[in-house]
Amino acid sequence: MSLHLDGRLAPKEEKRFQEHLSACPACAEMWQRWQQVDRFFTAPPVAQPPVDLAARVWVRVERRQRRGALLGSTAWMALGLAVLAALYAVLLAARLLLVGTGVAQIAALWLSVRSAVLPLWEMARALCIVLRALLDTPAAAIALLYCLATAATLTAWLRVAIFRPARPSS
Amino acid sequence: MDAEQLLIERVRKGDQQAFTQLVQAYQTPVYNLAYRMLGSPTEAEEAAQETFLRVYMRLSTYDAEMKFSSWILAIASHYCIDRLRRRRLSWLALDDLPEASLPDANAEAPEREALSREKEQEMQSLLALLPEAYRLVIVLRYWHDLSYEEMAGMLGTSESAVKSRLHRAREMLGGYLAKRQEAAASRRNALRRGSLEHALP
Repeated sequence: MSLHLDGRLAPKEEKRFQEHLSACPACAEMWQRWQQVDRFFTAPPVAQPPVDLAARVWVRVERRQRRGALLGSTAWMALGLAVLAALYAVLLAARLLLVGTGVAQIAALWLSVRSAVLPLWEMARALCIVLRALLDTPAAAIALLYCLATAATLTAWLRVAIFRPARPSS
Repeated sequence: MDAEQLLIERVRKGDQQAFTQLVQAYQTPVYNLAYRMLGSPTEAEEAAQETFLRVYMRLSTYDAEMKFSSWILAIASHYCIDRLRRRRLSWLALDDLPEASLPDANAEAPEREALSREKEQEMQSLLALLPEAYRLVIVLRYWHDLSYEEMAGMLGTSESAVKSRLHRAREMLGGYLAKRQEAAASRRNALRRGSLEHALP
């Protein structure tokens, strides 16, 4: 039927189609409905765009280009910094390896990195323990649930009440 | 080189006037497609803007194998489908429901306008009932008069997939129309019986 509506049936097929329709009332009824759909959507009204669409798009094109240029220059700057850092690392490594006191210096470097990172690690572990203990008490779990529910309600309300797009008056 | 290719070449070089010309040449089909797919003038305008922005950015990748109008409509179609998917996925998307309002377009005689507005609303509400892939083929078939081959090329699928989508879409539309007519008939009957209170919503 779909093919028939689009004029895609060969004459032979079309003949068979018509023969079947005259013999089968169910299909004939369905065919009528299909034709109705086709008529309903034939030559439909076309929605008209706002008149200043081109100008508005051009504003966006220019903005995008400016952002692209900015991003490009930022990327070049980042690349330059990365090259400098790599150069410095190579120089440092060369100095550590070539100068006799290399091992001691590497050990000192490791120690300083460790002493910077270790407190952070301890803090994260402590936080984990506290959270786990909290979750073990039922009252805290319920409180957490309340917090989550409040956050969800707040988000929903913000989305519905504040960020609702302005309805066009028509 | 024909006029269209010349225009495209000028846009590629960043000529604003040429770009304006290009937008004006294709804005009606693009906007109409977006409006039929998304159902709201605000969203349709956003989609049309985004489509032309993408057209400008991707113009270097356009190859003349495809008709330019099909290429633009393909970009618009993909954007609309993406947008509808995002809408479906977005949590609590209460404000994204399509509205059946008409953009203040051509001024017609009031009674004709009311009539076409009614039909327009019915069309839009029927379209909104279809899943997006089916809605797209109906829009491309009836509003943009594209052939199966063109649709398949545009959407990156096979012709048989396009055929079956159109078939399913028409089947669904037929079902909706029948249901609607039944409802209208029973309302008329109720009215005739004089039980006006029951018929009014």
